[in-house]
Amino acid sequence: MFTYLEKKPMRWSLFASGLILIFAFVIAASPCLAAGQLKTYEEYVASIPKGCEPVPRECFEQAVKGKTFAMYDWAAWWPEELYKGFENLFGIKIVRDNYPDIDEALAKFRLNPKTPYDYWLTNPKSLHYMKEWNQLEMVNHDWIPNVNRYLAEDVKQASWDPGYKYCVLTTLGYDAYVVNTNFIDKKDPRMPSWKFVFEGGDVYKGKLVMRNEMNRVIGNTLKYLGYSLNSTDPAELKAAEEALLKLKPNIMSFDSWPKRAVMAQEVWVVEGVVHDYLALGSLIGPKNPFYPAYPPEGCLLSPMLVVIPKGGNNPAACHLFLNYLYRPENFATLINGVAYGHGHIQIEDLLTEQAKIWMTPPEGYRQKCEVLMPPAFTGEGEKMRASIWEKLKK
Amino acid sequence: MKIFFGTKAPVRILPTLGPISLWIALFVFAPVGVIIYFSFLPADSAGEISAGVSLKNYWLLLTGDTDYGKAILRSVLYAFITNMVCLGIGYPTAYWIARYGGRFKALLLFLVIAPSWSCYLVRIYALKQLVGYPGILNDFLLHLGVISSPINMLYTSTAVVFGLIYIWLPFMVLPIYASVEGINPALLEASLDLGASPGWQFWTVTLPLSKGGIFGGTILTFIPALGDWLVPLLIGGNKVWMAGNLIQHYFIVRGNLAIGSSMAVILTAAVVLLIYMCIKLGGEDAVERIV
Amino acid sequence: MKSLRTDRLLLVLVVGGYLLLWGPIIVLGIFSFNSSAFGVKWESLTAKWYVELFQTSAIMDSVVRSLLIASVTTMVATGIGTIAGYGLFKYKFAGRRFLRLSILLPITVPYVIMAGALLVYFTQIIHVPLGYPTIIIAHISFSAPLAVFVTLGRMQRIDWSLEEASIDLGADRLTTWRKVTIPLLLPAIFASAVLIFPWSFNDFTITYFVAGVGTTTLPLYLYSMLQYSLKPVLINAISLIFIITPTIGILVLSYFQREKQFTR
Repeated sequence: MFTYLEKKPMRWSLFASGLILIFAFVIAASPCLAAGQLKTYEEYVASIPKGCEPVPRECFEQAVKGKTFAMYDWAAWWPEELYKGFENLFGIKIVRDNYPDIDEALAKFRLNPKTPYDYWLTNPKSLHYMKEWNQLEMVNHDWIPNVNRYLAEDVKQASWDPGYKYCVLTTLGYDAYVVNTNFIDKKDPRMPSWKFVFEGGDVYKGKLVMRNEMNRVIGNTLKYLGYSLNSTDPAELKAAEEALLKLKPNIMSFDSWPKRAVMAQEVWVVEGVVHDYLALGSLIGPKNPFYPAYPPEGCLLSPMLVVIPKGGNNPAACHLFLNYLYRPENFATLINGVAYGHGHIQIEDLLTEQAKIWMTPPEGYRQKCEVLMPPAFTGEGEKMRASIWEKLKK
Repeated sequence: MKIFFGTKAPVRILPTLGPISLWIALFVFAPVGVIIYFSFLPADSAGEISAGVSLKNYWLLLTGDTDYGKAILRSVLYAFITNMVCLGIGYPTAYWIARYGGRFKALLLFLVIAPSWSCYLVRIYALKQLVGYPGILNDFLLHLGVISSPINMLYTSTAVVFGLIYIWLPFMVLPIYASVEGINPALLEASLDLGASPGWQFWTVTLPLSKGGIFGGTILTFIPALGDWLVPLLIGGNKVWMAGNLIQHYFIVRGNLAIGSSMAVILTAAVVLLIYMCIKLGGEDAVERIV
Repeated sequence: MKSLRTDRLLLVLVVGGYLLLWGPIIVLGIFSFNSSAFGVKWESLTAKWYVELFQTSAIMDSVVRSLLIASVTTMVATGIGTIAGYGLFKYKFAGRRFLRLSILLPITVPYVIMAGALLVYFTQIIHVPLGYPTIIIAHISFSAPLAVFVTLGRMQRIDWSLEEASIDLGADRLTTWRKVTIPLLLPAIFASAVLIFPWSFNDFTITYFVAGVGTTTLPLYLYSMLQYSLKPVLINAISLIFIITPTIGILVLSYFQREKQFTR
């Protein structure tokens, strides 16, 4: 073969360019191959289940014409069938990229304005900054009738975005901690308080994972000390810094979504959204080893919001997806899969008993929790937190 | 013919060397220039860059409250240990292949090269799976009864250094092999004829002649180890930072280009100094052996 | 006298070196045939993960992206690099040493620095949206130098009188290039391609810094699997592909290039 090549070098390059062409073709053709079940707007309207509404013709046609839909979200979290179902129904190919944590995703938008994502699953901090940088499209309420119909009234007026002008809430999680009862006795007197995490290092022997997002970790530390997690008081933050530096030798790693390590039972105590680990624990075996601790001091309440960055190629597909997601049966699939809290008023009957148990904190717990607000992630508050975080990591 | 090449050379240099010069200028020198420029721009803690020139970023990095000097010193220390251990294992390996490899030389070399060509992440994962807490090595030792309960081997500074050694070892072996292999056998014979013992011969002939390989290998292990960020992230649990993690943190997580740039400039300066020293000590041969 | 003890020590170090290099990879390979999804306890022999690998569309999508990037990179970088190596060998001129060292720069400076610099350059200065173009440009900057040095190494062993003979016999420059020089350089071109393709396919750091929308390559996907996958055993299966690809490359290379000359 090689002697052949030596004689006819041109053939070789022809062959190589042929290969490239094939790859290019595959890439270009892949969206076209995914043909949807619904070809026309009329078919779509006819297929709408009872109790749901279709998006306007304009939105549907734009979305389908766009062919692809660029999403930016957490890896391996929501049930895959939601995405698959959407692709099969509308023939729109979902191109998904994942981020390791939201701060990193935010930095990407900052460095690279108009990154063409149509959909970004994010938090109130990003919402604040993206609004400030003028990088968000407003949500078109005419294009999401199901959301208007089923989103709870108090969520529509939530503090992070009154009137849901720029975002749509998907899930609501309690960022407390869970322990693996195969290794840790849940009757430990310090549980469920944050005291167990910050003072129980002798029991869990360095098998603790904290999230890799400074606002959350420092926020929960402030809660442990009995302060507000949006505090900007230098003395309170100094105390948090000391508590964290003292805790550091007991931390195994900083990781925002340590799914593999948790499943392999490499980790015994995880600071993170408790529902995630309860849902994961059921996959380990018949006995769910995870026990959720809702600290009486309170914890961070973490809403996940869908926003539409400017510069996306197919914002109509994002509206179509949101409308599809808010169909009660689809939203129930999501909540049954991730077991988070939510703001959908019509899925109570569709939820499994298990999901209801996993997603529900003790009675009256929500009043003790706080959502991150601008004082924590702007100006002096941000500066002090960043300094603590860097000291902790260096 | 010589004259032909001589007179027409400038005309021919352009089409052959033009593209790479242009490419290097546009996509290597220009970006480096840009980060040097950015490193002197004042930026607030949120990373908003304002006009002007200041040394604030460097000041902050080296002496500021956050004390990054430590992270840099730590990187240098880890890279140095890595380099020395790689030399300690890599030299004998390369020497042995060159001397006693015989007809298996190609196979033995291949066994060194193949891991260095495979994906870096895969190798880190392989190491993690082997020595992790519910890990294969732990299970094995438990089974043998050497240890009574699993031991924690990951997520420590020692684990980070071990990971660095594991990742960068092949890059030490190859240049040393090339230079040991390149030693003229007549020289060795001559030294034996002159009555040198094998040990003496090694110290006086082989080692000095393979100097180029040693410094080439140093460039190829010390420098990447100095800038490594995935090993501290994945094997060190993202809590023992090295200089590379700081760069990644400022560029990718905080989006603070000014401070990230100044960090990168400091590291680049260290690297250039190191390359210069290696070339000074190892001669041009060190450069020859790199690739 | 000395030789017995030192030889034994030498052998221990060599065996230790090889064990260190290959131990983790071999264990990883073996456990890819384990039926348990969390590959730390051996259950039973299976090849189902390999089947699943090919059925997971996200993985296959990322493989296609990686192949695309690696092919384009290989073609351009090999082209630029080979002619540069040729020029660098043939012509003596002022600044040659400087050019040589500059070409060396991208492969010796830590990737994280160059990748960061390229990120700033692309986003703040020339405003290219991050995506395939930026990844490919970055990959070429790092891999063209490899081709330069492979070519330089090869050219030292070539008999150049053939080229001169061709010109003496009346062929013009272009014909000489096509009929003589390129065939002489083919082994070098081939070696560069075999070296660059897996390099580009496997690269993580640079791609991670300059990747944009919908450009999750296989290493980037692997990185997210390391953290989130419920079937980490799939990583073991992928890893075998990563080990086998360069292996085939090296084997092909050493077979065709009869001299057993390896370069990085």
